[in-house]
Amino acid sequence: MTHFLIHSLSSHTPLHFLTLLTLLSPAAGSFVLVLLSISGVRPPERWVAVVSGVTVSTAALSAVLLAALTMLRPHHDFHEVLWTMYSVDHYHLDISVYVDPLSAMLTFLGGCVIPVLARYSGRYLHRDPGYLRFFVLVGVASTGFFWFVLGGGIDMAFFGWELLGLSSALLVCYFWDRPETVVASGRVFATYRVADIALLMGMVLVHHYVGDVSWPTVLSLGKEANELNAGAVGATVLGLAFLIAAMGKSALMPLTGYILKAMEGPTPSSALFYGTLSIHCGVYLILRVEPLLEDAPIARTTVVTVGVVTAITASLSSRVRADGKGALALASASQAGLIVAEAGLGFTRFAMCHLLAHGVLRLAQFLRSPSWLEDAQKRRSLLGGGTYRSGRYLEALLPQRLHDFLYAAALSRFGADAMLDGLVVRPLSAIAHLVSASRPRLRPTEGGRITDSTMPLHGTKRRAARPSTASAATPQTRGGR
Amino acid sequence: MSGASEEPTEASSLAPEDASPQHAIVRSWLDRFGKWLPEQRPLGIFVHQNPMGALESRHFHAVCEAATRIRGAQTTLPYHRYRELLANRQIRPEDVAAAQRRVEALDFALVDPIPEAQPGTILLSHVGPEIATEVGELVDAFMVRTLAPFLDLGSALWPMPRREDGFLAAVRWLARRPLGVPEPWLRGLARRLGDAASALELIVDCLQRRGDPETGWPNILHEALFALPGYAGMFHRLEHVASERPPGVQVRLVDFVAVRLVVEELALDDVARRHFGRRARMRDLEAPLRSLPRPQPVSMWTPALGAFQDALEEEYIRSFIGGIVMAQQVERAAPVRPAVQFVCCIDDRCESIRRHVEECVTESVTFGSAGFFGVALKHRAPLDVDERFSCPAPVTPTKRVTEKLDATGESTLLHARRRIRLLAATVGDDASRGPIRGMLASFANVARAPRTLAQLLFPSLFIEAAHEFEGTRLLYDPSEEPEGYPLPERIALVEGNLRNIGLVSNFARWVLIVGHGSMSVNNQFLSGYQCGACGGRRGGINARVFCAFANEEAVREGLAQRGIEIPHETHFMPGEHDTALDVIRWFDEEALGVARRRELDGIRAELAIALDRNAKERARRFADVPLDESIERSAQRVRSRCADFAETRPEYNHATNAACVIGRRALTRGLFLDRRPFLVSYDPTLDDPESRTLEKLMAAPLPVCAGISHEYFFSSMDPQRFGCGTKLPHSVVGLLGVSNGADGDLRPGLWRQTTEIHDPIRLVTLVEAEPEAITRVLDRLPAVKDMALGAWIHLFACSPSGRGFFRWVGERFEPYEALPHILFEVASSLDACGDTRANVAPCLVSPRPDSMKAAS
Ligand SMILES: [Zn+2]
Repeated sequence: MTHFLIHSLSSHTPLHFLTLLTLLSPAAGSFVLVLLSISGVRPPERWVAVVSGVTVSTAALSAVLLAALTMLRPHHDFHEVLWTMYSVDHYHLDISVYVDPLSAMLTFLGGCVIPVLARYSGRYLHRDPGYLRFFVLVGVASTGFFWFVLGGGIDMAFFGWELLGLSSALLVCYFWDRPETVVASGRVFATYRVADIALLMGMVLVHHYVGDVSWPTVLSLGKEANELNAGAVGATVLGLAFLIAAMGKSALMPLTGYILKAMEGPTPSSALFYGTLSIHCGVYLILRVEPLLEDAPIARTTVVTVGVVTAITASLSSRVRADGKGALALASASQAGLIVAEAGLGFTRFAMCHLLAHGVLRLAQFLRSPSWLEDAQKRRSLLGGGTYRSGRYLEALLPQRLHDFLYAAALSRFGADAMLDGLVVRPLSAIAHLVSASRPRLRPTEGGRITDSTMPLHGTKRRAARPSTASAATPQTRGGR
Repeated sequence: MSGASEEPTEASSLAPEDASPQHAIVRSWLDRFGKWLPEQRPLGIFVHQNPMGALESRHFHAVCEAATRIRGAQTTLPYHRYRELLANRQIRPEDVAAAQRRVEALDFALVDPIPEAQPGTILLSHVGPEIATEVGELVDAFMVRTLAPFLDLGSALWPMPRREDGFLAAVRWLARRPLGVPEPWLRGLARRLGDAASALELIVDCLQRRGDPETGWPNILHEALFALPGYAGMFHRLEHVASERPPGVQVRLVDFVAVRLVVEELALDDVARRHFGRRARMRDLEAPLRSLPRPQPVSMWTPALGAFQDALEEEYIRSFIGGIVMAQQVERAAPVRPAVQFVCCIDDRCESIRRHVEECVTESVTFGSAGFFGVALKHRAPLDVDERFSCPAPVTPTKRVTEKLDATGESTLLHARRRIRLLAATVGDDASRGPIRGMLASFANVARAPRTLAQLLFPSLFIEAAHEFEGTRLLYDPSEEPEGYPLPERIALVEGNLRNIGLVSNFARWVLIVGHGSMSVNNQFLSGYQCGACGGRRGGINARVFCAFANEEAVREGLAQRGIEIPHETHFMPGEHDTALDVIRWFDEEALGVARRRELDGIRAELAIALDRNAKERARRFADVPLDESIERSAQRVRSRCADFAETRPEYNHATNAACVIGRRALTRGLFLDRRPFLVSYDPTLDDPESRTLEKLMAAPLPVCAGISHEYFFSSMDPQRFGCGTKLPHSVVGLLGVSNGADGDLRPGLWRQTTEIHDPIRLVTLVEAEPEAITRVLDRLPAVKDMALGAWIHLFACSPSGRGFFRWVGERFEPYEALPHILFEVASSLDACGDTRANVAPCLVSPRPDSMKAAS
């Protein structure tokens, strides 16, 4: 009887239905909210919270069910093409779903985390002008997440990956009336682009080797026995491409710096992206393609090295951070590195458990980060006062010179950001200056006089903190009275 | 209570450098600008204070004008807002006209004018917006990266090396380490900083390259200080207040400026290089800059705006003072032989609870005393090594009170601590920053996750009272606690406070001494919600100590000799009112006999009603609590906010504060004042001819109240530059402040979530005493007199001998004619405000206790 029940439940039809719910409902929620706002209705907070909460939770619940039921199936996997958008003789673009124990576990994490976070934000952002915008973006983010995790092929995963990156970048500049948030958001976005390009390359290569980008095929690539074998070189190139993609998403060295810029967003979004989901997507990608590393020793070694280096450097940088959110962000980058290393070494199961546990921990820590001071005081008084520093004893083991070096390096995040600025940002911006005519700049002409009519008089809003430019400052409307 | 007054300046260490005239110029400008830097105590001991505290000797409007030039901040509402208020009749045209005349008559001299920068001065703000922003970000990023760990009070797990020798030394050290300062454009930093030059020498050197002393330096220094006003202000404060510094660290503003100027120079070199080729340097920018139009310092303040503000405040004065004037003509009942005397803090949040107690508790009268009840103490918790000051910020306590647990309690505490230390060291939040222990913490957290989840979803199940100890023994007698209070002092303290509040006779059976604190979770500004008179801490311990003194036989004999006869059956009962949770915790009940305890339970039952109704009254300010709910439901909602991690408004703190009344309760009893005034109890009839008591009350509590009101005033006028903006993206930095995101400037001031419902109004102060007496007192208190002269507060007098009301105009009191004014009569406080979220004008509450009980 129960066997029959299980069998019928885990049969195609219900799973099919659940998949559709998961992939579509959060997007639908965001769509409704957008419609509401552009139709001129100023929906009250309650409506927004309900619409977003219901749609997102539906998706989450059905995702968890989907994962659970799939585990009841004989081979613990579920792969189905929902809709073939179009197919040219070789190439076909499918909307498909692929669930296996790996994706099931991450789906489970997302399914548990997202509704809680939506609920939290519903109260946390009370009376904030951007309330609706926030929940639209939460909807987009969860859509992206589920498409990425459940997507049946790299192309679908890539789509979700893009949505996730876009929404998180937009949430970093959520308080757009402070220009520094926009700058930060730009940095985040740029880093994500690097990751995107790498993932795109990986996808193209896979297509080049196989003519098909669905996960089952891709995963069979590594296997010696498989006639589709891409060969050591192919596997290595693929592995490295995916590694670079993971670096960008999971803030691995040397792309760690952006995660600090990302803290400009409201605390719940920091928690969602840089504590729990976004930061683990890169890690998950590595776990996903781990079979490819079977006969790609170079790629495998690189993965492990990058992971270990990140784990150590990021945690050192986190130790010297004086601010709560920054310390947490670097700490989660460090754990992400560790998990990547575990994956590289082939402990996929363990890495996955570690990922889940870590995601939950950071979520809680980020959501509690406003208590940073209170917790420190409470801990101090619980311990009977005096000074108490975690890890003081490990530190004492270091010789003075090494200690000094490590401190200084950790403070500058081992020069990674500076290096990127020097190698990438500066040249790019220089080129930008050359090509853009509009951009005003000091140009020496005869006798060093300026003949640039576009030279502006006043500083920007950011500099408005200075009196010389105060007139340019428009009174902030954010402090509603 | 501006911090500068707390301790003598320690600039003496720089005296020798000031020898040279150039150094003198720099120092004079730094001092001049220093007054304008935001002053705020480290977050852990945050208390409200006037951000313009150092300038109260100048006229209010003059300071508002200067602030717009120097801080670039708004000090009035935007013009269109005033027009709206005018249209809604919240401002009267005639008031505006009068105010306009008054303000124009002032024609004050500009405060701290900055000479216009001459051509050729190299200023960041002169090189064009994109470049300025770009350079500014480079410089700020480096500064913040080094400043935060330098000032850190224990958030980083690695303290910054060499910070004992000051910021300049620390940066020098850093610049010499490989990867210490990897930015290419900062390659020259170590060389430029040298290793011998003093801070002032460096500053002068940098300034000489960028402009000339008279017309250039002030602007350059101004730019350097106000680019990161938060950190500059913190430096400025910590330089003066040693007790708040990270232990052993030398903090000097000149170090900050020196490093800033050097880094700016290198950044400008970089700009030059990028625009004029790699050999170019900063001085090559001079020629191009010469030809650029220079931005002029513009003032956003106009006499018209100032006048509008005055007129706006006039309207509140009319309704508030008017209400009190009218109330004097009405008969308001008060018990002749009170059964309960309820003494709480002067806090504006206590105005409502006093009303509700008088409405609900039979035969009760209430008093307002500074929340530390006159007992300034160093408090040491059981088996604790460090001690906390529990007294108003300016005071430095000399006496200590130690709490002692019994033997079993101590051993359990020690065990608990061992366990906590182990957990913290292996899987705690700090430990989770390491790679391996981060993994351990992750897996360990799985066990705790369900509870966290439950608390996120159902906060109301997790309301827990404050974690202070109860049932401990207080050691304060010198025989037990060497730094304790000898008997004569205990007597003097009790007598002093009782005389202050005018409670020297007609004692009731119960005198409830109720301090206050505020419980909330996930609130970076927690200490700002506690009792300001206890230095931003919960006031329970002070109440306990005061009662312990007052209940002593020996003390009572001493008091009797000094003319204060406390009947034997009178008992002083210590409690602590949680202003967010609306619960009163009682301490030291063991001391009571069975009969008395039953009696107390009766009073408690009535108090419970009062507390619920108080919660209901507060609930109306929260936009997410419906107005038309039952008292119980609203109270329940209000309480569950305190345990909700997602709650950014556990309570509205001092928001809407607007007035201060120093006088007998008879003046305001039975009046609904909407939690807006601070109520300081003072009985002019008991005061001596020189009115020493009044002097004490105007010297201590009044400036505190004014400080609170001023901080709210400016933070609501400019939430971004005086306030710290919205608290949603805040990150706690170094346990001493908050910043936006991870790499921002420190943000002093108040957060939007508390100023959003506040109307910026200067404190309307009403003192019940003869105007001549007040004038004499003011002559003895120059600081307070400055506030009156400079119109920082509106000062009113109410003559106890029936000569009517007086108003401080210009330099003296003049009779004040309140317009006749309708005073609505309501049955209870809730009837007065139940149906609106807006401010409510004073009304007359004539309670019928029976109906009250029925209602609840
Ligand atoms: Zn208080």
